[in-house]
Amino acid sequence: MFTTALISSNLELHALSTGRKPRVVTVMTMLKQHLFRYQGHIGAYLVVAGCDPTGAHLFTVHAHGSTDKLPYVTMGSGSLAAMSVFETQWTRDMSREQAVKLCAEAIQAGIFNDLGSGSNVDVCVITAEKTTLMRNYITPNVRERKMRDYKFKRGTTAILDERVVRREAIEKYVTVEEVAETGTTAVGERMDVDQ
Amino acid sequence: MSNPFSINGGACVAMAGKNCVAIACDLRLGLQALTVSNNFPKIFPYGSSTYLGLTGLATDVSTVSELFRYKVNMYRLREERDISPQTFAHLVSSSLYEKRFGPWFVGPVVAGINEKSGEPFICGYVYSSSQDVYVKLTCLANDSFDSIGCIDYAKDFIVSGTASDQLFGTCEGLWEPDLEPEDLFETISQALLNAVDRDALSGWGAHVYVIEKDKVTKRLLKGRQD
Repeated sequence: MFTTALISSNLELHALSTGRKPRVVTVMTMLKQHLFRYQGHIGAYLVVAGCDPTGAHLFTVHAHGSTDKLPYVTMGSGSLAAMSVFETQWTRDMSREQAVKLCAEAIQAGIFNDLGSGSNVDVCVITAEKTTLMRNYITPNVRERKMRDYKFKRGTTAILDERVVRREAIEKYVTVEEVAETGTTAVGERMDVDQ
Repeated sequence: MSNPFSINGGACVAMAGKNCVAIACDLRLGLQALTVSNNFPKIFPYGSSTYLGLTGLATDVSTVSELFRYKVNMYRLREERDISPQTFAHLVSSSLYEKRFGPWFVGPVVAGINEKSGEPFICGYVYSSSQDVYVKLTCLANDSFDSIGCIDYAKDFIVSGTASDQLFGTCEGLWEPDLEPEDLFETISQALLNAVDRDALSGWGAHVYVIEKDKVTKRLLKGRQD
């Protein structure tokens, strides 16, 4: 998370200084150089995907700094399950709907066949124009409501001491004084946040 | 037993209710199996409705709580307002990642109510394996996980400390959505008391804070002293 935030801000600075739109290879190179410098101690394993003026690109970056450029990629403990779906069903030049469906199925293969993966499917579609993140695109593991409740009767827990602090009590110690805009008292510059 | 997280012992839990949150901790401070003190609170206030619970190595609990006191005071001076629980959660996150290769041995829990939106907020920090620590503490095979800043947001509850396994059990069983402040107090108190009774390194009394929009109630619980 911190690695991606760092690279994201560095990429913004890079785009500003070059005056060009950032490229996917640039992100990938910045990530690999950062990760290689730390010799694998920063344990970030990433899939880098995006559209830029040179086309659509897909990369994987490993913690030690190695990268791959492939037509379809999987990562994580569920990557073997997901890759098996890609290896059997992937075809060249799929439509948006086909690609979203295949990705969701690959993730679901990981959810159900790998013990380390689970819960919901998010899908993100990146085109040259815009990016759409579909959070919880499929939710195949909705938790049931508990069948019974074990609500304790009020007063069950024995209390030795109780202290209540009310908001009014805090305000009691604060005096608010309106100061005139101009006058004998010096008025500080008004900040942007005050408006 | 040279895992820094379980030398001193301790437990902390936070729960969300209907327009309220609760955070609770035990009071034990120990050295391995020997109890040194039964008055070592692990919850610290950082503003009128932002609270932080810290379990783990006691020296780091004290140091980190003081570090955040300093950081939040600096925030107050700059911004002339209280820190929101969300902002504080990010402050904790970046402060933990700052120590990526020599971490604080603490398990933080943030609980509070956002004063602007009135929304209850709780979060914890995910334990990630840090290879450097793994090398230093070679006796630890499967326990070398430190929280280094990945925020774990939750709608229900967050647990931390040596009794975290037990707390997961009691919380999963007792928690339900939309609890009123009084019921949330009973739920979190019973979840904590029954969890710490099943852990040799936690217990010896407990503090419970119930945070509402316009008031905070702090209670000292009667717990087993054995």
